[in-house]
Parts: sequence; structure tokens; C-alpha cells
Amino acid sequence: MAMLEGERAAVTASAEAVARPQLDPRTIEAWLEQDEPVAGTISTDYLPRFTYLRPTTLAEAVAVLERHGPKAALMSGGMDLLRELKTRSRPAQPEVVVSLKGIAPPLDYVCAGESGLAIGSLATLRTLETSALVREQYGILAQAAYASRAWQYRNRATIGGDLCQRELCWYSRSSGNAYPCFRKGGEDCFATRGDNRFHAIFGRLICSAVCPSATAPSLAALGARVRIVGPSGGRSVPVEAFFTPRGTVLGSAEIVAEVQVPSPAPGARGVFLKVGVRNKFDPALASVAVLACIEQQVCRTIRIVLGGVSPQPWRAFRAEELLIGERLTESSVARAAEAVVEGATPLSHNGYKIDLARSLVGRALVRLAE
Amino acid sequence: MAERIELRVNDRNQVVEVEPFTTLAECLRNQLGLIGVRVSCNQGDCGACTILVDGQPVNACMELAIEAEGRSVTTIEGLARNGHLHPIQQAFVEHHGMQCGFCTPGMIMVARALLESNPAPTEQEVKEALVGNICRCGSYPKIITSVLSAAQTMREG
Amino acid sequence: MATRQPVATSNGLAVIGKRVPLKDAYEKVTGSLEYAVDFSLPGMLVAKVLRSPYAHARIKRIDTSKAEALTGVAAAITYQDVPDEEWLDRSLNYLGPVLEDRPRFAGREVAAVAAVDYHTAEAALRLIEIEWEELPHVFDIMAAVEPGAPQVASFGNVREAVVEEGDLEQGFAAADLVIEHDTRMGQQQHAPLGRNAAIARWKGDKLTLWTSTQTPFQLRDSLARHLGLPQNKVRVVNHPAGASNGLWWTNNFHFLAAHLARKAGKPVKLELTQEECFATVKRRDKPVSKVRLGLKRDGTFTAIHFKHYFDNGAYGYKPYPYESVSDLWGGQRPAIRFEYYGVSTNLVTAGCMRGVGDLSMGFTMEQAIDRAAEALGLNPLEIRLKNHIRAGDPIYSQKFVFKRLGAPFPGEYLSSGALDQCILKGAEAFRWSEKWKGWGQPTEVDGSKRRGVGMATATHICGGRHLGCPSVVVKVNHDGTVHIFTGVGQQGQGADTTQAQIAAEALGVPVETFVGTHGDTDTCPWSPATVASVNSHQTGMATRLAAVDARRQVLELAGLMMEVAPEDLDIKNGVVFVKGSPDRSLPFSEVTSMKHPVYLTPPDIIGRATANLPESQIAKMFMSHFVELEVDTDTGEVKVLNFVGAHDSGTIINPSICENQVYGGFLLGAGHALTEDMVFDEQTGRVLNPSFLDYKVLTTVDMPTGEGSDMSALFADCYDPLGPYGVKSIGEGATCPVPAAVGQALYNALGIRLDNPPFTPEAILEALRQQRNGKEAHSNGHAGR
Repeated sequence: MAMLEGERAAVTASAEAVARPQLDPRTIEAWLEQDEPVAGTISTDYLPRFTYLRPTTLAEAVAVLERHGPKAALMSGGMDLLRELKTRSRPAQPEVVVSLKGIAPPLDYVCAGESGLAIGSLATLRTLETSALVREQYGILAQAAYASRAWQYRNRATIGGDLCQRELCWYSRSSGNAYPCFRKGGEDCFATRGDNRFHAIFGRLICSAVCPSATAPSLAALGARVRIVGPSGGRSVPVEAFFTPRGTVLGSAEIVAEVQVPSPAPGARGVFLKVGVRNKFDPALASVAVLACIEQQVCRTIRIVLGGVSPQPWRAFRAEELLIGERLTESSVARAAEAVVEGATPLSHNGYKIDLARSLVGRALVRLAE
Repeated sequence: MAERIELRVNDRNQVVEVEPFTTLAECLRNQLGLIGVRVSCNQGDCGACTILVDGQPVNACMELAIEAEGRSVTTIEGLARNGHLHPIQQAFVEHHGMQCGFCTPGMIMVARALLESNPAPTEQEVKEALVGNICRCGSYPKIITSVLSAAQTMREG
Repeated sequence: MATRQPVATSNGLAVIGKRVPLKDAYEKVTGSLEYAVDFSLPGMLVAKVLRSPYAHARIKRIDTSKAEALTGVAAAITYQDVPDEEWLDRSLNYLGPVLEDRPRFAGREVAAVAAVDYHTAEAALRLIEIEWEELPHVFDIMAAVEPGAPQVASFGNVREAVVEEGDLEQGFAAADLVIEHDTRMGQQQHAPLGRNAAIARWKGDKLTLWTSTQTPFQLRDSLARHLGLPQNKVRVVNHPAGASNGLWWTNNFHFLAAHLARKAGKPVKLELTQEECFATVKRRDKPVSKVRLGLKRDGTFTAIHFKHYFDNGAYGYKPYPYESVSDLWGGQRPAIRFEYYGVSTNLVTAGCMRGVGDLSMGFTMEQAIDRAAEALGLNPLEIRLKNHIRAGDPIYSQKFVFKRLGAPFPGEYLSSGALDQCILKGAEAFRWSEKWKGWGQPTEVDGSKRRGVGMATATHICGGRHLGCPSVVVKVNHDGTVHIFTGVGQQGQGADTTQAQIAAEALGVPVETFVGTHGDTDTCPWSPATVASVNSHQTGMATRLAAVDARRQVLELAGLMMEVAPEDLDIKNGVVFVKGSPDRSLPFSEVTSMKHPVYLTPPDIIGRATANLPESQIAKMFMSHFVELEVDTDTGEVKVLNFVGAHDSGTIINPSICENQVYGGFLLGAGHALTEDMVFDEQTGRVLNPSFLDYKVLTTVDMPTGEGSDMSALFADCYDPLGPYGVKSIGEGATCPVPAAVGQALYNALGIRLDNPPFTPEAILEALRQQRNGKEAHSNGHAGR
């Protein structure tokens, strides 16, 4: 510390308090005092203090979540949670982080069963994109996983996390919970009357943010279900129904355990398309996943699901109806694509999504007919 | 509560004491002095802190240090051997695959992981592998040249 | 992939023109280079900042007592702890107090604490009590110039400047065609990769500050003035910066670190988060530009009347955007009047960013030129070739600076210029004549995919006389190795390498023998900072002269040893030899290590020089960029397919470095043109997307890709009579033509003239929708721009 000699002359305040590196309990208290209004804004990018728990069974994990209520946060890959924690943008600051990585047997499996694919909640997007099984038989899922974001992200982001991540809204994601919006227990949607260029054109209630999941449209097109465990046991819901205009159906102590994807019917073909601001590795301005059986150029079954346009993966029922039993021709495709955007309710900045959704569905159907 | 963990960093065993809220980037930089783990966004968006955990590229800023217990970590500091640059590093020097250098370790780590699994990548494969690594200087053309050239050098052994 | 083009080099040069690896390449690829964020001191505290939640407010009461009482907190400061006096940044980029009772943008610093760790500092900030009074704010620059608008700065909301020459009325009277064109642009931010930190330590009454800055001496001088210290009691030790692009100059947070460290009596590190880098320091000034261009039927410009409103944000003080657009089109001597309005708003400070002035004004001017050319049946090359300035032409843009400094305008002339080469050689390399199909005509159409080509030109300064005199020291060690000391900043532009190349050329030794120390204000000579593309041209003059000075001393010594007159000796490749008799030679290191016959020790050789630009001649860089892109009219996606950047930067010191500057400049400009947009909340003025997730800088996959795609840079054959070895500069100009070139290519692909970048998929789809609905598309889809 020789280099610090002589600095005493410049000292204008006592530095004695600094001599003790141990934190006084008051520090923690002050830190956790979330209800106290803060006089200004603070930009943070380090994690807040928390206790880390690593239950070994799903039942134990559920019990921990029940015990801690809103003071607990569930973590799988952490790509979403750690960002929220670092920016203090979670509605309630957690005291406990509950990792699913200690669950035995591990939840990172991807395996083929009699009726289809079972994907453990902790299977990474990278596992999905590289699995030969997924690529060959569930191509639209592998493509969606690949396009989710960068390699480093996909190595850690899990299917469970992808489904459960928080909405990608500039306002609700603002650091320090700057906007007390609907998702934060407030009554307002700042995006609806502010900048909503990336928000929903379908199925909005109060919140206008779109479903953030990269894989949900593909999973919904494949007819996948989400298996949930919770305090009252387990349940299984279709992916489309997993999302609501207010987020997801998950209760506070519920956990996504598995995603079940039925085997596509023999001969079924899929198409996945996505457009981002820069490229496909961006969150979707709009995406579309289609799975269909075409026999002798006639569409027997089809599911068309859009991403990036609604708080939920948006199923284009009317377009599906128009196509079933029809040949995929220029005019039937155009009619179906137009039907997709009927009833859209764009906001002030996102009318372009109508054109984009129409084009993407049209392009996907043409691709299907090729 | 701080916890002692053991991990392998650049082929050496290390024991460190970390808090549950310590990121692996913080641990590597502050406790082990590995400043080549560059932290910029600290939110997993820029790729500057990319390291390899069990051979796979991840953002060190988005890893909890305690979850690295028992893992094998490679940082940019682990690439050169006895003062000899790794062929990827050498290619970046020769082809000017950098300007300010802040993104460089992350770029090199992703390139290393890519060439490990795909020794002869196409230009497009290199680009898609590096999409999570931002270079604000815009050195991408020479970065990609560097990676492709290193791949060739390494194939020729 | 990027092809290597043949490069113009001057004959007979040993080091200039060579692809020398970066001096710090080894440190960069091994991760050992120390940026400011990597620096720490024993016993160091960390600092956090409390920021204003309001765009404009008054602090009626502020109380830090609870925060200071918290265990682990060493100091808290508010406006009551710092001098009221405003500090002024280089090139008027900032004028304001370090802290004040009237914060003027959301995110402005209001208090700061130093504590043992971040959690404690954060807890302390939460304990600071403030009674606020909200004040009316103004965000839009055209609203801010209205009478009755809320007043942002002490000097009023508008700072004005004019550059004019000739009789404007006569100029327009002589015109056969007058084009009026207005543009706006989205908000670009420097988006620095690699954050910044300031580490301050006091020893007695001496302050040392470690940071990454482009302006180490301006930072030292500002700190000394602000703290009332002599300049030798403040030491700035500069570290390399991550991509700065004009962000890291002298910034307000540097002062906070100094005050906190003094109050705490301990070293303090203030490291900014990425969010703080995006939203609280600086951004590119956001313009509203209007131009009237008068032309003769043959395309000759007769008059240009330009009105440029640019945003200063909350603390910018610029009346003038440091542009050269007013010079560029003087080839036919049109009458010009360029009016500048620097406008204060309650948004984060706006100031210089790479390509300042010439990028945004160039966008407007180039679009007006395009419209004129189309109306007159000229192609984009012809009209530019007809009107651009050439070596020897008078230039007037600096008139305003002389006026401001109270000095008579001496009359200034362009020292060299090869924009014609840039246009013609660039067009040839790009195969322009094959691809150009006429105005509003796509090069190729394939279903929804339409290809178009575009080109644009620009110029930018190479430093400036008024910035000050760079000084450089070249020290030759006894073993023949060399140290170079300069005040340049290092943020990836390679100045440490290029300055070493200049000095090695002049000294006659290999560049590998050089080591540089840059920007330590206690050991390096003063420099006008790394701004305004100053280094290779202006600093390079001093570097060359310092090396020449050292060389003279070496030759005198060698002369004594070899018993030859020094003027009969020469040095090349590290060998001192008698001219005409290369056999009579000594290795350079032998000369420098021999005992001096008088002093009986090896000689101490210190070359030094101070230089500046001459009074009446000014060098400018020129460039012409060509882009081919493909628009998908179904999805609004734009893909860049080909890029050729043709540059006149005089002699090229290091082709690899310059290519990197051209590609990097292009990608920065293309980001501005296509995807980058920092968005402010219209209600609060808060930045809504301060992250790399939400602010979209271009990535690897956004580069030209696929068969027949390429990026290339080529350099005009031009020797500038002022610069060292004919060198000009390159860094900033590489960004300037890009938005206009992209805009022209989009027009040719789509037949829609877009005048408000970024041209995102949303904007393209919105424009196509307006076109279908029969409206002329003038703006993109986002309201409130």
C-alpha cells in the first residue's frame, strides 16, 4: 500500500467506515427494502444478492417455490432470469433462486417415444437444433431453435426457459421497473400509447407484448403439449393454451417439466419462416410455422401458427379451414393468406405486421406446394 | 453464503470461493485475473466474454460461478502454448482480424469451438457461428478471412 | 470475401504502405491488453451513480445522510460538493456543471457514492432522499426552437452559425432548376463495445486518473481547471478503449470519480454499465435538414441554401457541425449559404460521432443532387463529377472558425483531391455501368426480390489547425530500439501502428524496433486529441519531424565515429551507411550503443517536434461508396449484396488498417441506414432500448453474403503535399456516404424515395403500403421521429 502514502492530506471525510469490509446487516435490509421509493434511477448490471437452492426432485422444487412465493425465482438456463435480475426489472426482487439443474434424473433429455417426442424442460435449444431426430422428423422445431439467437445463447437457453421467458417489451423490460405496467401489477400498457412497433396485432387484451418464445409457433403447429407439475399434481396443456393474453397459465409454484410433441402424420411437411429487424437470429417481427399433409396436391390437414404478432402463438384457424380439402393454387393461397390477417387490430406503429404476416403465410404455403 | 468450488481453468485445477450471485465472468476476471474474458454488455448480447465450458461456447457473464463446479473452462488465456500463438490467434494477427480488440477473444473462442466440430466451415457457417459476437469496429470481413485461413492452416496441420 | 486491391504506394518507401500487423495485436489476441475497465488498485472503492428520473426537474432538497451512515460507504457527493462552474469539452461537445440542482435529461447524474462493493453502493443510493420539482421539458428539436419552448440551457436553446460565400439571390436567379429537399434521420448512438471506467487516486494534492479516452490532454486540462489545480498536479493515464467512434472524450463521469476519490480518501473506480454507455453519455446529433439547390440545365450548381438543425441534447454547446459539405460542391463556384442551428433539448447530450456533420448533411445533399440529376436526365456519376472541388479550389467552411476565434480569414485552398478517381475507379470496380439501369429502375427483379444499386460521395476533414499543435517525442535507446511518445487515443483505429510506421520510415529503421507510449499526460507531449480524423495527417507531421530530428542526431554521432560529414550519411533498414558507398556502414544499434567520444557514455537521442497545418492550405479526404442491395417487397428485408468503397486518403500508410477502417465505416453507416435507432420515450425522454439486444448494430450475417457478393476497398492514387509522405486521413469519412448510397439503391430498387433512415423492414413495408395507397412515401413508419 506504499503507493497510497500521502493521500491523507486530500482526505476531506472520514474513511474509517471503509476499514471493515464485512457488511452490516443494515446494508442488506436497505437493499431489500423494495417498497421504499427510490429518488432517482440506478443502472445495475451485476446480480443482486440471493440464496441459491438446488432441489433434487420436481416435488421438492415445487415445495420450495410454494414456500417462498413471489420471493423465489425459478432458473433453468438462466438466459432470461439473469438479465432480469441484473437490470432489476423483475416485478418482485427474489431472495431465492431455485435451479432445476439438480433434479435427478436430469431434465435435459430429448427422446423418442411411441407417440412422439418427449423433451425435458432443461433440454437446450442447441440440443434441439443439433439432434438428428429433431432435425429429420420435427424440422420446424429444429429450425426455430436454431434461429432463436446466437450460438452462446442456444447453448444455455432451454425449451422450458424459452416458453417461460418474460415478454420482450421495452417498457416492461426497462431497468429498475421504470414503467409500472400491467405486467408489474399496474393498470396501464405504456406500449399501447407509446412505441409499439414490435407489439401485437392480434389477441390483445391489456398487455400488447407478443409471445417471446422462439419455439412456440413450431411447437403449436406440431400440436405439442406442455406438461406442468405443481402443488396440486400435474397437468398437460396444448402449447397454444399455455400462453394467455396475460402471459402463461403457470401458477406461481408450477414448473414446466416436459414438452411432448406428437409424431407428425406420415407425409406431413413443415415450413418455418421468420423475419427479424436485422436477420433471422433476431426476435421475430413475425414468424410462421406450418405443418400440413398434402396428398395429390390437395391439402388434407394443416396447422398454421404465427409468432411475433400476438401475446400467444397465433393459430390461423380461418385460413386452415379455407385450405382443407383444397388444392394449393395461387388463388387459394392468396385467399388463405388474406384470411390470416382479417380482424387484425394494429396499433399506431405496427400496421406493417399485417403485410408481413400475410406475406409470410403466403410464402410458406407456396413453399409447401413446391 | 460464499461457497468453495473447484473447477478446471485452462487445464489447471482451481479452488475459488464464490457467492451464489457471482457470475463466472466475475470469478474469472476478479479472482483468477483472466482479463481476456471481456465484459461489455454483461447480459449475454455481445459475445465479448465468450469462453468454452466443456468445449462449448457460452457467455461467461450469464453463467453462475457455482454452476461451473467441476467443469472445464477454457478462456483466451488458455490458447497460446509456451508463448506460441494458437493458429487462430496467429491468423487474426496476420490478417488484421481486429481493430480495437475488445471483441477479439470472444471471436477467437467461438472460432475455436467451430473449428473443433467443423474443421472446414463455409463462409456462411463461420458467419452464423459468429452472429452472437458484436464487433462495433466492423472488422467482420477480416475476422472471417482470419477464421477461414486458420481453418486451412489447421487442416494442413 | 474481401479481396485485396492493389494499393497506391509511393515508390522507395520501406515501411509506409506495408501491411504491418497492429503493434498491439499480440495483446489483443491473447486477451492481455488492459482497457480501463481492467485496471484496479489496492484498496480501491467502487462508485455508483444516482440519476435523474425526470427529463427536466429541480432538486428542492437532497439528503445523503442516511446513505453516508451506511456501513461500507465512504463518500457521497451531490451538486453541493462540487464547483458550480461549467466545464467545456473539446469541440464544444459539452458545457455544464459536473452536478447541478437542475438535471436536464432523464439519466443525468444527480448524486454518486463510493463504497466497498456494488451492493453497498446501490443500497446507499436507495437511501438518498430527494424532493423533486418537475419542470417543463422539450424533446423535439423543431419544438425547441419555437419561442416559448422550455429553456434547456443557460445560453438559450439555439446556437447559430453561418458559412456563406457569393450572392445567393443571383445564384438562384441563374438557375434553370431549383430542388428543395428535406430529410430527417433516426437516432444513432456510438454503441460502444467495451465499456469505460475512470479510476481516480489522490496522493496529497496530486490526482491520477486512469481511463480510456480519445482526448487524454483535454481531460487533464479540464480536470485541472475544474479542480483549480496546476496541470502538473493532474495526471491522466490513458488506456486503449473499445470501439469508441467519438464517445469517449472528456466525459462527466470522469469528474465524479475524481471528486469521490478525494472525499473518500481512497482510490475509486467508476465503471459504467452498458446501459449507461448507451443512454447517459452522448449520442450522434439528430438532424432535421432542408436544402435548396439551384442548377443550370447542364447540371452546374449555381446556388446552395442549406438549413441544418441538429440536436445538442441537454449539454451540447455546438453551433456548427464540423462539416465539409459546404466545401465539397464548390467546383463550379455556386453561391452558398449554410445555416446551422445547434438546438438544446431535454434528451441525453448529443455531440460528435464518427463522420459528424458530413454524414447527416451529406445524406440530405446527396439526395437533393440525386433528385436534380433525375430531373435533368443526368446519371449520379456525371452530376457529381461536374460539381465537386479539386485541388487548388477555395474552401470556406473554416471561415466560421476564424470568425469565432477573432482571427482574419486568410483564404484557404484545397491541398489535394481525387474524388474524380474515387468515382471513376470505384464505378469500374463495382461494374456500375452494367448494373445501373436508370433512376428508379431496379438492376434485377426476381419475384418479390428487387435489386438496386446506389452510389454517393463525401468528404471530411483531416484534423484542423485550430485543434492545436500535436507534439511527438521519439527516443532512441542505447541498444537501438525506439520509443515513440504521443498523445493519441487508441480505440481501434491503429494510430499507434501508423505513427510508428511514419517514424520508422523517417528514421530508417524497422517498425518492429518501435514501442509506443500514448496518452500518459505526465510523460507524453501534448496533443490535440484523437478527434476530427487528426492523426495520420496532422499528428503524423509531428511524428515524422520528431523522427527526422532523432535521425539527425544519429547521423551526427555516426559522422563522428565514421569520420564522415553527417550529410553524406543515410539510414535504411537499420543500417547507417555512406551515400554512394553502402559498404562503409554501421548497424544502427552499433551507432547508438557506442560510447560518445566526448561524454564517454552511449548517446542519449531524443527527437522531438511540434507541428501544425499551414495557414492557407487544407487537406480533405474524399470517398465514393457503391452499394448493391436486394429488397424483398414481401417482407421489407434489405440485404447488402456488394460494396465498393473508393477512397482518397493520400498515401496509404497501412493498407490493412485502412481497409478495416473502410469496411468498419461502411458497416457503421449501413447500421445507421438500415437498423440502428435509439428510441426515446415520448413521455419521459428515457431511452427505451439501451442494450445490444434492442439497439441493432450489424452482425456477421448482415454483411454481403453468397455467390458474387463482396466488399472491397480501393484507394486513389493521390499524394497530398502537406501530409507526411503524402498522407491524409481516413477514419471518419468512411461512414459518411453510406446512408445516401443505401437510400439511392433503395430508390432504384423500389422507385420509392425514402428520406428518413433507418430503412428497417417496418419502414420499407410501411413505405410500400403508402405507395399502394397512392401516397408519396416521405417518412418511415415511426411517428415522433
